[in-house]
Amino acid sequence: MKRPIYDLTWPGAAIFAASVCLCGVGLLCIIAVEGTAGAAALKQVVFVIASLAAGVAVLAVGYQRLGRFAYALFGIGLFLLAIMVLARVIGGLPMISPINGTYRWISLPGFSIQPSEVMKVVFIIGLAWYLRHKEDVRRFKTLIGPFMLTIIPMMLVLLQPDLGTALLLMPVLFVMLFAAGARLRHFAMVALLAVCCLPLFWSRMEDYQKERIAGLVLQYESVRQRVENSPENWKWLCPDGKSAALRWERGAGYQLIGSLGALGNGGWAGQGWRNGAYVRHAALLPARENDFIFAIIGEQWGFAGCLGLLACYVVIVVAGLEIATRTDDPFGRLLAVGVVALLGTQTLINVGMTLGLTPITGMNLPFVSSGGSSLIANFALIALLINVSQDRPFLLARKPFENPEPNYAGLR
Amino acid sequence: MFERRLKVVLIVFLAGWVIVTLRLFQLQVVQADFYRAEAQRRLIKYEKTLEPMRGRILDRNGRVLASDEPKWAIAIHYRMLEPDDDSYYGQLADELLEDSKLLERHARNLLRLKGVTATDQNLIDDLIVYLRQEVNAQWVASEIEAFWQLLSTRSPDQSREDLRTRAVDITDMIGRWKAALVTREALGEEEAARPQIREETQCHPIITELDRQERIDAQSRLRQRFAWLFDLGAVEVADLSEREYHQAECLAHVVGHLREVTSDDIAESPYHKPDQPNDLGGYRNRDMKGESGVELMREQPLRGRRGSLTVYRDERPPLRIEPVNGKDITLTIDYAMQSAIYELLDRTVSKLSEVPGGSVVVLDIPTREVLALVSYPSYDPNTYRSDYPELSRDLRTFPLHFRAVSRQHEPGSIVKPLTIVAAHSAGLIDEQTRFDCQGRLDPNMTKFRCWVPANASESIHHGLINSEQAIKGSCNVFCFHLGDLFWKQLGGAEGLQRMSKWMDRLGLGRTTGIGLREEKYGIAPSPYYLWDQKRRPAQPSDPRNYAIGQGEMQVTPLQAANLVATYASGLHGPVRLLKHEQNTPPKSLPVEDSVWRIIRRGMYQVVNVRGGTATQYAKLEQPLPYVLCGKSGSAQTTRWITDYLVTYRDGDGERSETVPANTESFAHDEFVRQMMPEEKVPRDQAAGIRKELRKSIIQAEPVAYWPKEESKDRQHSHAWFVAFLQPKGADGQPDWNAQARIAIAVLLEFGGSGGRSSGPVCRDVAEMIINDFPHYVTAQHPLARRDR
Repeated sequence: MKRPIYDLTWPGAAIFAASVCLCGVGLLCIIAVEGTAGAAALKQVVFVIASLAAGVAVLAVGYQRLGRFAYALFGIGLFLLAIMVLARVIGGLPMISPINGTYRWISLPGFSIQPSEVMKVVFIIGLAWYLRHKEDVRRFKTLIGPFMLTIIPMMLVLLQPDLGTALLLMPVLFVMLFAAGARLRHFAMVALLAVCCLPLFWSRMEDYQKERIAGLVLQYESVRQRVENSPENWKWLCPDGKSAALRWERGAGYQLIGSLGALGNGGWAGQGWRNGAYVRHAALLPARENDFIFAIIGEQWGFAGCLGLLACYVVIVVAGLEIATRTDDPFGRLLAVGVVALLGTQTLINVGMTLGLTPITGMNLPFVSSGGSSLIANFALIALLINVSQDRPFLLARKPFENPEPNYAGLR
Repeated sequence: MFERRLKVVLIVFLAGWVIVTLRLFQLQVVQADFYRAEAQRRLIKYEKTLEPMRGRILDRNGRVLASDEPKWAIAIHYRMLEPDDDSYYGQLADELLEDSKLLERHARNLLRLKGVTATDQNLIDDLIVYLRQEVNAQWVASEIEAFWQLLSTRSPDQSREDLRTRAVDITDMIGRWKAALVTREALGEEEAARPQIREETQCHPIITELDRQERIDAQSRLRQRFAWLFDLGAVEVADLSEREYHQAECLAHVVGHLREVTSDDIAESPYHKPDQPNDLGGYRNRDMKGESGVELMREQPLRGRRGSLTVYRDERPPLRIEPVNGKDITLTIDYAMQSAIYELLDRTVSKLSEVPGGSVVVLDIPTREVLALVSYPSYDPNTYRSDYPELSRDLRTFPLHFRAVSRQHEPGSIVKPLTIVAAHSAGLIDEQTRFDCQGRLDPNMTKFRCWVPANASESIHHGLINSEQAIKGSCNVFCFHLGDLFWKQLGGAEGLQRMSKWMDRLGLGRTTGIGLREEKYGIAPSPYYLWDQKRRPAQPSDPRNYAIGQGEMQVTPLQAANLVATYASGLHGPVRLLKHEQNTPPKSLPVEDSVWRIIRRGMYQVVNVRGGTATQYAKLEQPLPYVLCGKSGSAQTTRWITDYLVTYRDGDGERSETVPANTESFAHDEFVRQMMPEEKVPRDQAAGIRKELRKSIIQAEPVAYWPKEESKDRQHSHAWFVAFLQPKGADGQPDWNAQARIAIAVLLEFGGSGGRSSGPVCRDVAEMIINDFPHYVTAQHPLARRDR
């Protein structure tokens, strides 16, 4: 029992409106960075149109039909990631060449694909499909399956290497498990396990990755001074301690200093569209149309503009959770929770890194940052959400997740 | 509305948003002002300092003695000197991509280098599109390597390795400055913020000393290929200047030389204004400042003020603060006279085997302008740095000593006229007063004798003489009597104080007002001086000794010249070295004219009348319209120590080493320096080795002296001669109504007693001035310039 495609329902309409607003802001920023409405803006418009088309396609297919192919899609995602890893191992394949030493892109004529973005979508579908009827999710043994579903793509993404995307999958898994009704005790055990694994994980990380995480504390002058005075005590945190501290302002910290500067320069009301030192000068803030787009939004429209932007994300999360509450289909509900978790977490991490609250990882701001793959993936995700909301209540179905005692909604 | 667990998810996310919002509020509202200023600061693309030219130093006729000669250097930004600074390369790439005009220029240059005349706009556009894809940090890195290669092919002696080591040297040095600054500031504050020191945002010369042609060559070749590096401030052709001293050695002490500033100079500089963001007045690392002579004395007007050029990233036009060049300083010295006298001294000293050096001062009496201020020997200021170790260890001739103002010796007989003037003016004697000289003050005392001529065993007997004759014969006994009168009639120490007051009136024991920092005060002993410095009360023998210029009294050659100028004119005033600067003219003293006449006549007789002490040495030989009136003097001294024998423990035995030194502590230092190993030792170890060496010294004793041979009576003396030129009247006798214009003082160290060695020098100087520089002695305009 489906509504027609054009009937978005109110939460769906709200999500759609918010995401289109965000796209608009992103487009304005890209124009501001480029100086005129030129090639980059045109490209972004094309991407938006392509993304909308992808969204319509998802709506047309329907999430339940997609769910039936969930594992096949998951397999395709893994396959793409495996190719990237292969390319890295043998040092390049046709259409895959390293950019800044990482293998993240498959270049096709005219555009390029980022397999990790594809993975985000198929990961949520696959995990939701796996968890949908698991009543025994409350037993620890059955948690191993979802963990494997997460760990394998995570490892492949890490090998690209792409720390940010890899770390993004874990919170999504946790939120979905939590929503699916896993016991808190188990979470605690997993958390303990994770803490135990942390030193191993840390020691396997590259120096530059460590430096980014160390940046969270190195951004403070007093910490840098301490590292500089006794580098041997801080070796665990930043391996080349002294030089990392000395070169902070021009090395690892350069982007952070730039983004804080841009935000601060915005003040209450901002410098206005296309105005501001950091908007106009790439040398002051690299990647400002991409990972650091939030910083130049802050510079152009100030504190007020930032609040407005964040409000759009709040709308997506609240409406997404509303959709999850309304639906009675367990697969749809898990899907909705997964999408909300992914978009919400990615937003928080991106904004957090702009503000110096989270490590600087190559993660963009959903809907706003320039870039085709992520835009298409994000619109596919919200199309899934809207599609879930279009499902009419299936009154006779058992309410999902309300374990352990069965609860028949229809009899209540 | 939400189920329980979904509510928890919502709350967790909202909590994240709240944290983000709070942090945003802190950044954008609380700290907005700070970041707004920060943005303005970061809009500065680069800042360049514009160096001023240091003022020239000229002689009185406008001849250039010292000037800044322009020199160019290729300077490279600090961050480009640092090896493998990828973030800088990335930044350069961003800046190049941002500036489409610059990119187009680079494309055109590339085409031109390939031999393609860039008329086809499509070709250029294609290249720009290609460049836009290519330009990133790696591209910049390879371009910069190509730049270094091109730079190293500039001349065969600069390999890429050389340039690399030089770059490392520069960055190391800046690192040390920074460390020093951090330490200095950390001493003041607990948590000192690490400053980004100015040198980290500046270009530093890597290829220096380009001349005009080389600079044009280098610049055109480099610019053709790497114009964008120049435009982004990573490379520049720096306008530097180098001090050049155009005179030979003769003026080295007077003009002085420069040295590099130390960190203390930078901190204590009186022009430093730390509250200004861009302090243009203060010293910076590697600045040169005056170390001696006029360069030190007139440091502030000479150095000028640097300017700056600030280039912004946005549309603002570059802000240019012009540098202010230093002011020229004109000396009163006549270069021609100075160099002629220097050569004369050079010839004289080379003939006298015992004389290590000397000094000649020539003053213009009415204005007290210094016409010549010669110290011999001297050094070449252009190679001063490299010669320094050798110069500073020359303990025989002391070429670095500015003898004319900083060597103080006993004046000897040249103060006898002063004693007589003082006694007359104090009312102790008059023109008729005579004393009887029988060779001794008291026949029963061996001390207080009159002077002993060369090759004679007994001192001279002058008989009953008056003041004029006392000067003529340079009678000690006459002056002893005057000293006694001061002591007895004016109340003991009080009388000595009166005598000292007269020395002060005629300029002894204080600076002459010339302004040179090297100048010594000399000593005009008073009872206070004796009590303060010698820890003894004044004695009756003191005024006797001071009356003949012995004992604690000391004067410099410049003071001696000013003294004789006062004898000749009756006026006393400060000496001037700089023209065009305010100065007080000489003032008259409370002395009767008749008294001045007595001493002038006495000095005339010293040189020109049979029986005078210097007639054989100083009388002008040529028939000239002037007479030389002078007074000789000898300053008794002991021999100088030139070498020490240092005995030290070596293992179990004792060994000894001879080192050049004139004091024991200097001998210790020199010993340590000589015994240090040849090869380089790390700093921390070197200190330990020095300490060990110092401990191993057992004793040091003098073994060699100057002069080498001791004289018969164990007396050595420095030879003084002071004189002035008095015009002759029609009758061939001196015209005492005419004004004398030239005063001369000569000092030859270890020149022997009396006027034997210094008299002829003074005579030669006087004849040379009369013949070659007549405009200084003619009574026309006091400062008439020679017509050229």
